[in-house]
This record gives sequence, structure tokens and C-alpha cells, in this order.
Amino acid sequence: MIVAEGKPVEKILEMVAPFKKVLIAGCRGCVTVCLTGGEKEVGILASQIRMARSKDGNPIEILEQTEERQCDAEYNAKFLENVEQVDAIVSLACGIGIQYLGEKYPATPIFPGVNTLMLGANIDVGKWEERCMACGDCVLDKTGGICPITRCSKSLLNGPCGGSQYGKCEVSTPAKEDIPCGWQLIYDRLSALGQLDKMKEIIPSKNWLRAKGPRTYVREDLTLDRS
Amino acid sequence: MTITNIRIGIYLCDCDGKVSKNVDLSKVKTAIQSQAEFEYIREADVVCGTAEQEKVAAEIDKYSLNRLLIVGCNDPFITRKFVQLAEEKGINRYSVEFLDLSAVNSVEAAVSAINSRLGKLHLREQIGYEELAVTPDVLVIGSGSEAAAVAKAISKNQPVVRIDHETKKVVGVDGFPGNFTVRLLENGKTSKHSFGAIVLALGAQPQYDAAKYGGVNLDERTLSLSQFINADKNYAGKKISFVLGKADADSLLSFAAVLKSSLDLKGKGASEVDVIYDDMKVCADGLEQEYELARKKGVNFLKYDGEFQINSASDGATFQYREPFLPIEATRVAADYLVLAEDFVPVAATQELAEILDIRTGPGGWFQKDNVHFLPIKSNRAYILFVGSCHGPIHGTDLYNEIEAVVAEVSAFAKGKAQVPSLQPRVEAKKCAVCLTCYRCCPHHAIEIVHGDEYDNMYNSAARMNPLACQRCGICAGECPGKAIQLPLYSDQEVLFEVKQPAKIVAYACENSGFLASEFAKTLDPQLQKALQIVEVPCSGKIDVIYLLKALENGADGVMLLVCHKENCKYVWGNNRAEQRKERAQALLNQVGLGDRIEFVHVAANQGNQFNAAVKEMAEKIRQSGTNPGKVVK
Amino acid sequence: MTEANDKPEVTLKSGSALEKTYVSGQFVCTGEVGPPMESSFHHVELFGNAMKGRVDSINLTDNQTAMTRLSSWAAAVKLIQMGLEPNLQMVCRDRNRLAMQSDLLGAYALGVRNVLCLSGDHQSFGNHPGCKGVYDLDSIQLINMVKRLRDDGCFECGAECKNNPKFFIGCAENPFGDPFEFRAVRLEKKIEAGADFVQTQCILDMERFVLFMERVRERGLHKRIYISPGLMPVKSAKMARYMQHGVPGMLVSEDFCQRLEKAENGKIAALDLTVDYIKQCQQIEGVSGVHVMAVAWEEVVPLVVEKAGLLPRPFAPFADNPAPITDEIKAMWAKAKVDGYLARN
Repeated sequence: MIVAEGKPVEKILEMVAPFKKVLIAGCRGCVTVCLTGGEKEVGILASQIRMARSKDGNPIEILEQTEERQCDAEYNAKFLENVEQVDAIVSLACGIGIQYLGEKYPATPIFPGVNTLMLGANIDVGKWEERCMACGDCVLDKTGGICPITRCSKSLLNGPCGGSQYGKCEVSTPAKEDIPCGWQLIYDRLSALGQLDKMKEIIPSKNWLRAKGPRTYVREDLTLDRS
Repeated sequence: MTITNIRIGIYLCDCDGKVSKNVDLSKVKTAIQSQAEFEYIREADVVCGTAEQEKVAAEIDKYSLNRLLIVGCNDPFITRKFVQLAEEKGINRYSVEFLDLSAVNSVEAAVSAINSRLGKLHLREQIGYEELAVTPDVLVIGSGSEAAAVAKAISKNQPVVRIDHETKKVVGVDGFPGNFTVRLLENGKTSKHSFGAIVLALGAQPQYDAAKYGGVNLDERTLSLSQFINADKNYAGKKISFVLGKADADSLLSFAAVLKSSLDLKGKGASEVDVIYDDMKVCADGLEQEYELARKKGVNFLKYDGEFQINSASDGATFQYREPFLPIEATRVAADYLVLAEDFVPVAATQELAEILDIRTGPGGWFQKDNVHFLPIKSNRAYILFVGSCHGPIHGTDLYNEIEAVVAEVSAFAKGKAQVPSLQPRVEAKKCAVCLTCYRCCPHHAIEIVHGDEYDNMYNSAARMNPLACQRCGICAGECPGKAIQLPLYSDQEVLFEVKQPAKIVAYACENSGFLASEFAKTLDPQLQKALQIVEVPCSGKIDVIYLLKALENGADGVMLLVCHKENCKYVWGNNRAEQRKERAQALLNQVGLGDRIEFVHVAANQGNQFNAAVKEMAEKIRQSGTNPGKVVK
Repeated sequence: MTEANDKPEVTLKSGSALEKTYVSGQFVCTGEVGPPMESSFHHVELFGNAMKGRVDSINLTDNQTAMTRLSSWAAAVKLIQMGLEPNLQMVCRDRNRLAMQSDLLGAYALGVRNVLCLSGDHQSFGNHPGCKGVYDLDSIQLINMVKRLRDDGCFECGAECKNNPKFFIGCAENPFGDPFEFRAVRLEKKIEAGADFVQTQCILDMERFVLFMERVRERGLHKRIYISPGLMPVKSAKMARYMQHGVPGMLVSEDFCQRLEKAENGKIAALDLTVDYIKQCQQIEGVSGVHVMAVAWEEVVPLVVEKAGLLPRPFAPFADNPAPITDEIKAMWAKAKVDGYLARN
């Protein structure tokens, strides 16, 4: 799942400062699941902005709408009636949704209400951890099913570096951010699987071309000829 | 279920003059008639009187009323009476609202309160009843006498399976009350069984602690109480001395066992029996009589105080101590056998089962949290019940009371079906992202994810609350990021309707504590109520961040959360969730410079004074911060 | 490296003094200079001069601890201009394979012959914690890239490189990192990738290093790579304690800390400890030399090297005629009260 966090409201207030009527657009996909951009957060942000603007003697009207996914044009079409009424949109979808909704309504300025953080797993209520960086060339077969690109702070393919100690990464600070050493995790998993020999093989340099955008993906067997 | 044709009857009761001394009811009636939507309204002197009741019944028929608003008092006796009347006329209890005007002293306030209730009655969905098929079979877990007793008692009504959790173990539980699927392991094989309810009767385990007896180790002549009882030897002609008070100081279990053994020994020809004690407690039913009987039969009761010394030899043991009432240095009791009381600890399976069943343990590792809102037999999960010493040593009448309560509770399933009001939260599948937040936050294991074409979202799935497991706290609704969950009687619509035109201070109050305290507080300082609006919620865990913000957005100057004391939430962690949400909401206010306007108060039902003190503090706080500048003028 | 000793006619890979010393079987001694955080060579000249004729080669750290510093290749070239032999450190954090190879070509063309390949401390430790870490390659892949340039005459992409650089390839390894059992295996991976010598993380816990060397000998690695443990004079007991708890990947023995704490003159004790550790290292089978890394205390290297009896250096430039100690260095010694160190027993 894509994990995002809410942007500081002062940034959002700056973005909408010139406008009198704004739509806050939520998404029922990943950002609802990660508790950042669903109907609930849309309501909270709307209320907060209304109060902030009232306090400043510059009232704002805010519409609220949440749809299935902002990464699909068909769902974005549902925002039409509200978009037509407003001066600007604040989207609480991930970076994909924000842009894609913006593409649908190019005449209306759109602003991000969230920072898109990572592709992560939901460890428990209110806790997320990154598991994938979408590098486009998966090496999990070589590393016991644990991703060195994501879970090693240096994305080393032949780790661990000298900073690994007591199972922690060198950038780990127990007080602030407790980060396990990804390569220690790999070592432990391969050890449990009886596959430590895999750690002896040198993984050659990575083709990062697939990890860098702008990437596209086309399946010729599925594309539809609409002519 | 929604009903399209809502017909509300309003009764303005003077409560025998109590209301009209503050408010002119006919003016209230006129005001209501001019603005509100309803079918019928009238005044009455004492609407709860028998003649009046008959009249109301006739009016329900005459005007086809299907919802009632009784304005007057909130006396439980009267509310019960009205609910009964309404149900006889086919209006269920969830369609009857009561409003207490005894503390209101202006027509304006009365009208506003009535309008607020009327609004809610209009918004309320019709609550029906569901009849569910359930398994009458009950699983009792435990090998001791407590388990045997409860199993026997339940078996009079319905089938019981008793397992010891040793030769046959519980290894997993799925499903919901009425239909738990329990996986049992026996001889290395697992099998699945269906049970309606699960009763834990694991008992407690005696544990000898040498440190409490000056390091004395047990041997042939110095025994622990459980060793003595289990050995069940013939002690004819022997002298036995029991030592009480050092261990198991808090329960009566050892004392009861010693009395029983003493009488037994006397009956079977022991030469002499001593009970050497520190403090004697005979407060449980029956113990006093047994004690008197033991004295009559010649058991010696000797009191010691403080230090003592035990010596054990191959032919007997001695207990040397200071007699508190006699001016002698030391007294020495010699016996053939010295029997020492032990402490009780939870049996090993307690923790294991707590994890398997996801039920909570409290101080000392016993089942159940130390929480005043929990009845002794109840766990955090419906129909998973405790009986006996597995939630702390109990004895005698207490045990029998618990057994009786458990029998009554599980008998709801004895006929294979159960009727429940359908009050569990509703999930609007279209909005459900199946994110598992409600599932993870439910303290009662009442939520499942169901799949099917009828669920109108991209997952064809939605959360569903089980009506038998759900305890209607509303924590799930407060957590839902998609606003897909609504708790009947407390839907967002209903709650937010109440704060559309809020008082200066809005207090969201848990019905188990804050609300009761507010009722009490009214009687202590009626003046304070003027600026205060109480919004009742079933649990503080239902108080959503948006509830706090909306009250302020709509014009309140301050918001309060009145919640149960820490570790004392009836729904396990609702008050903790409320506190986290308060922190978030206050942070949101701080970010936009709206100041300190939210107060979080732990209060018990009987703390009316503390309640009023908190309200005064809040009033002072907003006096300092000034009027809420965030109010949105529509 | 007795084998190497038996065959002095062995073809050298780079011809550097460092390589010659290792191959000759004589005990190697290298020093280290951290380039300054300013656009000036004064610091490099000062300490380069102090080590002149006293060490076989001098490491130039590459944006050490992720702080922006004068570039390691420029400092290396400065040493060459002074007639000294540099060991160019290169970390994977700051450059991609394009930039690394171009720096390698330039450095070699200017006379650099030794290169030490490292991952680098994470950028978040440094003075630009928000910068983007590159890590296009890891240290093992970097080693292999340098080896292929040298031995196969091709770039990382496989294309031919004419006038290819022929470096003596070094790597680091941390005997104190975890998983401990894997550390010797990882050294072996570096040997497979093409490393000729290894300078370890600084040894402040001799027992653990001895254990590490046992693992190295079990795998026969000491016969496939030259091993120089890193040795650091630690200025104060307080610093040793900090390194014991506050620096990831570091182990500092209790004995090490206490020897500094109990000493009357902590600075003298620090030098004594380093000399003692050098002597202990000389006794360990498979150790080919020592790397004296006096981080932020470079001026004491001449004292330690001389006291440890490592002079004269057999192949080092100016070995017969070490540069005189300058007044500036002497003043630094005096300030730290170590000026009488060589005269002590």
C-alpha cells in the first residue's frame, strides 16, 4: 500500500490563501487505509481550515468529497460538479492521485494535502513500515525474501556494511528511530532457511534504469484499440 | 431499516409542578407548535399516572404515533414504565426519548433542548430485533472442583463439554458468541467443535513460598496445606497443627480448607488439632458457623504475632512463637505434623488461554483487568466467561453466586436461538476500504470482514459487527477513516445534530461515568448548567476528532471530554483512544492558533463535585482564551 | 605473506611503495590524513611532511564522516607533488559509477597508485544530512570495477578503456560489525571481487580482533590478502568512552578505556597503548602491517611509528632521510605534553 502523511496545515493554508471556495478531495484507496486521506480526514481538515480562516476574518467555503480512487480517470470524473464550483482543489490522495485528478481538471489549481511517503505495510494501527521502493528489478530471490534496496539505508547489494551492530543499522538512534539492519535480517532469514551460502555470492552492480522515472508500462496483449 | 413516515408524539409533563415552577410549559408548547415537526403534542400534570397512561395508549392508536418524546423527568422507574407501555403498543424502546427539564429555567432553553431531541428522533433509524441461530453447547475449561460445579449447573439447561486443558487443550478460537469454533488438541490431533459460549474455570494453584516461613523446607513432618489435603492419609491418634496468616493473606480459601480439614480430622480420631493464626477472617457466609463448630469439637485456636520459628524433625515438628496476650517470652507448639498455608497463583494455562482467546489478565496474572465496570464473570469478550478462582481466589457463596450468574448468562443460548436488538454498528460498504482499523481497534473481537457481491465497493467486502459479540461502545465508528461505520442511536448525524447550535461549553460525556456525574452535578450547582451542554455518548471511545472540531466550528468556546478513570473503561481502552483523539484535536487547534479549548477529564459517576470543578476550570480557561475566534458564521 | 617473500620477482600490479612493501614481506606501516574543510592545502602539507619517510603510504579520507571536505584526489595529488605516496580513499556515498571512474582515471594519470574502496558513513551523520546518498555501487562492486579497469582494461559497462589505470586495490573490513560470523566471509567476498589489501576499522578491542583473525586464518584468507589492522591513538578516556557507546560498528574494550582513565598522563598513555597494540599485531599470524589512523591527531604519527620501532621504512619515499619535524608540529606536541615522548623509557 502507498503510505502518506498529512501535510502541515500551515502549508495548506498558504496554498489556499488566495481562494474563497475550495474542494477537499479524498480518496478511498490507500490513503483511507493509511488513515490520511479518507472521508474522515477530509472532514477534519475542512473544519480546521474553516476555523483558521474565520479566525483571520477571511472566511472560506469548503466542499468535501471522497471517491474510490484518484488514480483512475473514471472515478475522478465524479468530482466534476464540485470542481466546477470551486477556485481550487486540495487533494488528500497520494502523489499519483493528486496529479491525476489535476490532469482531469487542468483549469483548476490543485494542491497536495499530504506528503506521499512510501510503499509500506501496516504493522498495527498507526504504524507503517517501508517494504518496497519499486526499483523495477526484484532481488528478493537472492536475499531470503527481504529487500536490501529498501531495508538497508545504503541500498547495499552486498551488505552489511561496517556500521551494522547488535542488529541495528548505523543510522538507527534508539531514542528517535529504531532501524534494524536490513542485512542482519537477511542473514538471519537465510540462516534459518539453511541458505547462508547465498550471502557468499557477489551480487553484481544493479541496473538502476528500471528504478528511475518517468516509467511507463504497457501490455500489448491488453491494450484496447478504441478506433 | 428506515421508516418513511415518522409520527412523533410529544408529552410535556409538569412532574407534579416541578417543571412549571421554573418554566411556563404552555409557552414552551406554543413555541414548539410554531416551529417543530411532530404529530401530536399536549401538556400533562403527571403523565406517569395510571389514568394518564391509559390516555397515552389511546392517543398512540388515535394519532398512529410511532415515536415518543416524554419531556419531564428522567426517573428510571418512569422511563421503564413508559418503555413498557410503548412496547405494548408496538413502539420499541429505541423510539422513545426522555428529556429531563428539572434543571432548565427558561422557555428558550427548554425549547432548544426539545428541538434537539426531536431532531435526533427524526434522524434515528428504526431499530429492529434479530433472531439468530446459536449453538446451545457450552465449553467449560478446567479440571478442578469449580469447573465440575459450573459444568454440572449449566448441564441442567443445555449440553456442556468440559475439558481439562491438559489432555485436551484449546489451541484456537474463531467465530462469535453463539457460534464459536474451537480447535481442540488431543493426542496430537486437532479437531473443530462448535460452542455457543466458553466458560473458564481453571481455578488457582497453591504455591508454597519458603521465604514466608523463615526459609523452612517442606518434609515428611512439615507439609504444605495442599500436600496435606492431597495425601488424604489416616491421622488417627496424631496431633496436627495448621499455620495460617503468613501466606494467602487476602483470601479465605486457606482458612476454609483448614476449617474443613480440622473438622474432618476430629471426626476421624486425630488426637489434637491446632489452628495457629495471625488474623482471623470469618466474613464469608458459613465460615462463622464452621468456626464455632470447630471450637465446639475441641479444635484449638492459637493466635501468634510477628516472629516465629519452625523446627522439623523425623518424628514431628514444632512451631515456636510469641503469644500476644500472655506475658510469656515464647510458646512452643509440638505436633506430629505441621501444615502450612500456601499462596495461590494463577494456573499456568491462564496466560496461555488469555493469549489464545485474546482476553485480558490483570494484577497478579489473574484473568480480568482490575476494572470496576467489569462484572466478576465477564471478560472483554461476550460469552467468554470466568468463574471461580481463575480471576483471583474466591470461595463459598461468592463462588455459588458466580456459578448462578454464568448459568443465567449462557442460558440465553439454551434454546438454540437468541433474540437481540439490532443495535450493532452499521457499515456502509460503499465507504468501507476494508482497512482493518475497526477490526484491530475492537476490544471485543466483534468484527469480521465479509465478502460478497452485495458489498458495493471495489473489494466486494466490508467489515461487519456481530450483534452478539458487539457491546455497542462505538470505538470502531470513532476510528473509521472512511466514515463507513455508524452506531445506531449515536450516528454521526445524530451526535452532530446536537451541536449544530452549541452552548458555550459542549461536554461529550461517557454514559458510564461523565454523563452520570453530570446528572449528579446538576443537583449540586444548577446555575453552572446554563453555559453547558451535555452530549451523551456510549463510551468516550466514540468521541471522534470531528465531534470536537464541529462543536467549536459551530460556535462553542470550549469542548470537554468526560471519561472514565484510567484502566476503568467498560470497553477496555475507549478512554485511552479518547485521550489520543483529544491530543490530536488540540494539536489541530494549536496549529491554527485557536488556543487551549479542549479539556479531558477523568470522572467517576459519583463525582458530581469534581465534575462541577472541571466545568468551572474550563469556563475559566475560555474566559482567559476569549471567545472562540474560529466560529464559522454561516 | 611468506609466499610473497619467497618470490621477490613477482610481477607487481601497480608498482606502488605500499605494494612493494607488502610483497617484500616486510611489516607495513601506513598513515592517514583527513583533508580539511577549507580550500587550503596547509593541513595536508603539514601532516604529509610530518609523515614523510616515516610511513609507506598515506590515506586521504573521502568526505570523512559525511562532512564536506577538500577532495581526496586533490589532496592525494598534493602529496604526490611533495614526493609522497598517497592512498586514495573512495566512498560509494557521493558518486555514481560514472563519476568514480572518471576520478580514478584522473587520479591515476596524476600518479595515484593505491585506492581504498569503501561504502562510506551514511550521509545523515554529516553536515548535509538531507543530501541524497548515491550508493549506485556498493564497496564490493566498486572493488570489482577497479579490478576490471586494471586487469581487463574495461569500464564497468564492459567497454574498453585504453591506458587503463592499474591500481593497488584496498578495502576495509570491520571486525566489530555484526553478524560477527559473517565478517570473515565478507572479507572473502572482497578478495573475490579483487581486493589486494585490507585496512580494518580501528582496533580498540584486541581480543575481538584476535578472534576475527582466527576466522580469517580458518578460511586461509591471510594468504590471499594483505591485512593491516587500523590503530588509533585515542586522545582521551572520555573520547574512548564515547566511542564505546556512541559510535555504531565500534567496539572498545573495557581494558582500553581503563588504561586511559587510570593513566596520569592520558595522552602519553594513548600513545603507549597504540605502540603496545602495534607490537601485539606484529605477533598475530596473518597480519602484514599496521595502519596508523590518528583521526584529528595526525601530528603524533611520527612519535608512534618511531617508538614502535618501525623505522626506517624499506620502500617509502625519503625513507633514508625523513623530513625534519617542523616547529608547528613541535608546538602541537608541546601543547599536548607529548613532546618528551620519544625520550621516555
